[in-house]
Amino acid sequence: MQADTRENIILELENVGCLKRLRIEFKPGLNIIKAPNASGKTTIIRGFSCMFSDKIPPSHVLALDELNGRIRVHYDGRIYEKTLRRTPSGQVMAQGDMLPFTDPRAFDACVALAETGVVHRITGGNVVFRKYLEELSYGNIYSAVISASQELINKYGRKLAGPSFRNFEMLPLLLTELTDLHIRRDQIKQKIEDLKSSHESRIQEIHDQIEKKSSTLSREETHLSQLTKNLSLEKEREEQLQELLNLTDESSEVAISINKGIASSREKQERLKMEIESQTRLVESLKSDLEALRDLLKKEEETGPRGLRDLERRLENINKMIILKEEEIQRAERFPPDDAEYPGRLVVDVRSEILRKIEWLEKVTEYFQEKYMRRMTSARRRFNSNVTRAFRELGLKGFENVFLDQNFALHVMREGSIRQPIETLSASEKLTISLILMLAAKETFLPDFPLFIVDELTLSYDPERFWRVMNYIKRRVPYVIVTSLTSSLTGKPEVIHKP
Amino acid sequence: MSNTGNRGSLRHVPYIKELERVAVNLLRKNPDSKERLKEILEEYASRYAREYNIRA
Repeated sequence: MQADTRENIILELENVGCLKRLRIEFKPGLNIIKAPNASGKTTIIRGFSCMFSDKIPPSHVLALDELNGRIRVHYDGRIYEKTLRRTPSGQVMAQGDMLPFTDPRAFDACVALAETGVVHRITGGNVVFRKYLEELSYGNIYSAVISASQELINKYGRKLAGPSFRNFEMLPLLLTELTDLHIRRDQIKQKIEDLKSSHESRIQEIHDQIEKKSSTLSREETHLSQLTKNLSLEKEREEQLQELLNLTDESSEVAISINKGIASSREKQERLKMEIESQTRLVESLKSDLEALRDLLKKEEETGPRGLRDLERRLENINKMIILKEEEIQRAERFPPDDAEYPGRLVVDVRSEILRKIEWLEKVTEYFQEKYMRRMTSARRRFNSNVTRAFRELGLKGFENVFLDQNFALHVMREGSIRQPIETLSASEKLTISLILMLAAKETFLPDFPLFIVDELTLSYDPERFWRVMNYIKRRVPYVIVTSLTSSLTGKPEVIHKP
Repeated sequence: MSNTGNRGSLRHVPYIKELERVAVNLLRKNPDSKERLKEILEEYASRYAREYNIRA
């Protein structure tokens, strides 16, 4: 402790709260600001706090009916000044210096204002205390990084669950479907080829049949012609024999022989006629067959292979499906060129990039979780140690110890290691414990901060407890500032100094 | 929560010390800079994805 070597702190306030102008001096040791109600005790604390913490908004400091105000502090041979200005829109702006020991945590650890709910900390449960120690130990920085990392992990996770990446997950299935379509297309093409080939064979077969039939017809027609010719010759022969017979004696042997020849010729003619008739039927039949074959050929040529149209329609449909599937695959593989975030990039690359980001953020989360746990465990241990020392040194009647357990729940232990529920403590006991916990927090996290300020929290103390607590604080902090009610009617705050 | 067995590997998280310094400075000055913190984390995550994708 260096109180004996320190200089006085001079605080000057102008248009702050209800105070038009005030100059007040704090000496090393205990400084008791005495004043009646509504005379500016809390205003002094707020104004002074503005010089080392930004927790109090300037609008809570500047006098309501003033446009400008000023706070000035003489400390360690230097003057620190802050001006307050109300803008035309009614906003209050603060500008100027901060004291060299300024710390954003100081207001929570070193200024015990009744209005900031000091007591609430002990009655608020483990969540409140965990948050309090988090802020004082800067564990909140680690939890902020953890929370931001997890938010980003969730954000990237949501991205990966989005439509672009869902389609990408479908890529193997889409490729299988495309392969199936190609196989089906090849099968149909083969069927078409087979059908065409079979049709051509059929046409050729009909051609062959026509050719063969034509040849047969030609041959049979020649044969018929020959038969007809033979018949004609036979008729001529009969006529010649008949003429010869007319010239011959009917009873002669020659005539008999000629008659025999005529009879033979007639038989032959009959036979030829029958043959011609039969041959004619055959030729007609062949012609009819040939006609039928030519009709068949014409029909086959006109209609083409049966089922070809249906197959060609199916082939056309499959080709369309292949194009659609290829487009779908392209969409699944690559972001569109007009995509706001990843224009034209391969989905696989972006996916891999996002997975890498998640991987790193998970490592960061794990790292900071470990740091957070270590920091909070250490903070709790050091805090408990300072609380235990305070209770031991203060020797408060009836109390054995107060400590935070692993879950940051506060345990108040009465003599005989009996745990007392917080809510059953008396008002002054709650205040005493709150103050001691706050001082322990200050000693743990801001050991070099030179101030400890208590605003109207000691009203319910009897003089013995007041001095016991104040002397304990005074031994640990260079400047202790306490506000206290007085029955004086002057209305002006006065500082009583106890070195 | 990681156990002590992981500590060795966690120390080798790329850019972690640099990030820690930047984050602590940022949040000590302004504890409400959560959005800026997320931007910083995204920048480092992108850097990691870029550099470690190439290595992979």
